[in-house]
Amino acid sequence: MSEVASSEAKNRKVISLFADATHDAKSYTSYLGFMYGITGRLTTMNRLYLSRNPKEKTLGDVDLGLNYRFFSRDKKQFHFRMSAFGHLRIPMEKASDFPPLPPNNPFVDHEEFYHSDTVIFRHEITDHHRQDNWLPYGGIALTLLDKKLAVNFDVSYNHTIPKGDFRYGSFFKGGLSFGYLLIPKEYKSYNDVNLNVYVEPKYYYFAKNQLHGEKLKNSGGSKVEIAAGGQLVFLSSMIFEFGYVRSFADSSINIKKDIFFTAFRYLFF
Amino acid sequence: MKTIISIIILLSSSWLFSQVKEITISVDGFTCSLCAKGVEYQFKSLEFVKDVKTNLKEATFDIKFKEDKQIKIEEIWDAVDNGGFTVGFVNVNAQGKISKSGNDVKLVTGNSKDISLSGKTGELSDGDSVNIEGKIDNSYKVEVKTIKKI
Repeated sequence: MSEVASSEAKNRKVISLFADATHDAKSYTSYLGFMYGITGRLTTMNRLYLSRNPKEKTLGDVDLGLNYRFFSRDKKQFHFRMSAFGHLRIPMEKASDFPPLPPNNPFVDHEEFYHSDTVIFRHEITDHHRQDNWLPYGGIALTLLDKKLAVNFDVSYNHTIPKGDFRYGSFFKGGLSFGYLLIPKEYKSYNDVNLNVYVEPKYYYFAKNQLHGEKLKNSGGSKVEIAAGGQLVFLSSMIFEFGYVRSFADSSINIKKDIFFTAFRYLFF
Repeated sequence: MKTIISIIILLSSSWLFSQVKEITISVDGFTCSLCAKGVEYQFKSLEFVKDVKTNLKEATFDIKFKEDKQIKIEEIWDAVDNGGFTVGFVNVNAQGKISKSGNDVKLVTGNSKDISLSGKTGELSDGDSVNIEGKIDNSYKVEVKTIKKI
């Protein structure tokens, strides 16, 4: 789910539901999305993170964002575009809400709270819908479409601001995706079913987490992810997306090394 | 009385037939039906548009106009921009009377601003009723391709 430079049409609304999970379902994320075309160049993109874990609160962080397309070079069945985007993820959790969990299970994401190099409590993260840090992030996206081929590049810097003493590492993310329209061979009507397939390598670099301004050992690192997926489009208004993400060269503490994901989007005016 | 009625009918028919009737617009930048639908919606939102036929393969839209509304060509350009794309070209089919002043040739229609004509306009006289086809821009200038006296 990369940022793209192709904006929504004015007044178009997009409601989406996204869900992912590791193959063992030990870690997962869900969100409800809402996009709206304010103008043909400016789109607002928002998310409400949700929990599928009955032990957690259902509603999670809110992510508010804008994407502005500032450059377009359009030709017949071709475009090259650039946009700038900015988001703010608003946390809905407090550090003190995390219960202490003694065992360190290496197969589950966790965040640790230290005092003088000693873990004072450890929280397993199975559901990424709530965090305790503000996260402003922004970057640029470049999209090239040439008939059936799509190439997208996006890069962003994600800066975490702690609500309490603990700070997640800020991170850098860059991705390059290649997509291709397999069907229809030739458009005849809005009812034609579309099938797009894509592959998308991404690179992440995480700074170390901090407590009271001190960098924590068991944090930071980098990873490469490669996503492969498909999009089915029905009636030119419904998109069903599915795919798989695998991490490589992963030196981060994140153990979401393989993820299945699915998303549904409904576009309307 | 019959004469008055005849004059009213003649004037009203002249009004009805003197008009920008339809355009074909080619839109650059889109490659999928989702995008085309967004542009089509923008055209249909214009109060003077009667009907839109979309050709997905060619990325063109045939737009017919309501007879009782004033057409604002510049809003067609705005609609494409609101759809997120760029106008390639716009072909127009219009009827009206020629208004000639020196080298300045205009088509006076009943439902739009006067249209400036260039190209094949040499044989036209002031007051001629004509049907023209050609490329129009958003400042109401048409490069005439075909012209017929009616």
